[in-house]
Amino acid sequence: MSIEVSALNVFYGDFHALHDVSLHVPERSMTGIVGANGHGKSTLLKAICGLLRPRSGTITWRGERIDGLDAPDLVARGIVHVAEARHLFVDMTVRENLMLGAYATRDRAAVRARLDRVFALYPRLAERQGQVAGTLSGGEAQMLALGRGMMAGAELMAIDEPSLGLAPALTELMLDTIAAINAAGTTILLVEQSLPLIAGRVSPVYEIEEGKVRPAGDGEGAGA
Amino acid sequence: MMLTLTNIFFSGLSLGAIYCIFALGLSLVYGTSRVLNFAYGSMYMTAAYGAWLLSDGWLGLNYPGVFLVLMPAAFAFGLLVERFVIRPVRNRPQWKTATMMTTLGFAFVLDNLNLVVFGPTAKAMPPLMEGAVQILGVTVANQTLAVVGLALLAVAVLQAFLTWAPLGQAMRAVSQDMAGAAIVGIRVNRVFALGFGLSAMLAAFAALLLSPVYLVSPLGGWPPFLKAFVIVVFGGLGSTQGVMWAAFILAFVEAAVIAVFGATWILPVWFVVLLAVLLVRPRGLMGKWGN
Repeated sequence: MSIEVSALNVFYGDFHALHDVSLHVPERSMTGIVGANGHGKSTLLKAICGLLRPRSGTITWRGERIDGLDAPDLVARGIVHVAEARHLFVDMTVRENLMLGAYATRDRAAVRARLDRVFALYPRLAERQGQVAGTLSGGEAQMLALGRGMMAGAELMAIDEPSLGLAPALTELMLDTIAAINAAGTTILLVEQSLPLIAGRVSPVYEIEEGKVRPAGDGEGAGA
Repeated sequence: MMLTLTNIFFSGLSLGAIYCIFALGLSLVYGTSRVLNFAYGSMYMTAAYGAWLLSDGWLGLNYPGVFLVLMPAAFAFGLLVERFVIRPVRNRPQWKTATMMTTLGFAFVLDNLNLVVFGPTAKAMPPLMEGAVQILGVTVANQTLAVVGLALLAVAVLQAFLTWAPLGQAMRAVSQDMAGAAIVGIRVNRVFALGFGLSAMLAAFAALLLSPVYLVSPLGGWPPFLKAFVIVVFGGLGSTQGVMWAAFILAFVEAAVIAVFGATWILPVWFVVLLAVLLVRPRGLMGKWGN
């Protein structure tokens, strides 16, 4: 089992955002979590990726307890967060953004190989290497966020709403590339608002509602 | 007339170079950690006392010797300030106000420590260089030329560090998007500490260059702090490029004001220029004020 979350509780001050959340993400799977805005999807991803401290419960990664570790420690273990807000370095070029994705990697040959993979998957980024990230279109910015996650050498990529603000055709393209990243061996934990959007692509699937998570079948045909 | 212009040019250039390194230290900390460091002027003065102790005051080192001891000491001091003054109040609600107030309190602590340890009498430092040269009919002190050269060199080194060094890139990343920096594996707390260390080094370097000209006194850090604050707001909080432009623009304004109206008019004219810029560009010359 890649990620195992059990009885996780997260609070924002007095607000109980996640209630006894348990789920597992099988190794090499593309696991989905669906739910409406404000029900705790992003909170759950942030807690898994070390950006929020849970109040109780455990998170394990390949058998090791990781709740309580900070994001940089998790990046070093291959757990990479691709945020909904993208969090790009807007005054830097596409290339500088990608290279910073590999900030924690010292092996130059590995960085080079990852950059080639990113450019093969997203030729647009290769064309726009020298462009400042703040001037990219929404689709290109999402590609850059995913590319930057690949540069970190992610073994588990937790992706928060890659469809946000994108046209349907572009969303499909984005999901296709995420499936390609998954096929190349990276475990994916994908969060989206609507099940039909990702049904058939993800398995297992969980539903999140008011901070509570329950399994929603294996994803095959669900909601279609 | 020509002579006046040449004079204004040289004094503007030397002031601009000094303002540049001094204000960059303030801007660097704001840019990375969003802390407005009110103790910056006092840290500058503390470094000036350190330079005085290392030279005339106690050890009698020459300027290269003072430089070699003072720079690492200032860096370490900056790290300690971040660790023990800033970090304890950082992860709390209202931390922007809290850290600002904490640095103000720390400024008073440093000022009064300096007053108790060194007394109210100002200390003088030996000149960096003696003599003067004639350039385009104007007498320019070698001291001024040395200050300009060293300050511009420091700015160039800092720019190169921020552009090419991995740690420098991490600092820029943190200043552009703190959460983005954390998710690529940058340890944001270390970058804050580094920012404070570098900032203290810049303040110490400015102290080294300025102390031979101005005296070292317990409250002597406040006027330069005030000027650095105006420069940083003028340039756009946290923007390195903006600070450099602002430093030189305001330095030339200052030199011209001194030549035409006299030194008492510097700050009034500065504030008029600042207000004019903020009316047109509310975020300063190049400010973004992103989080």
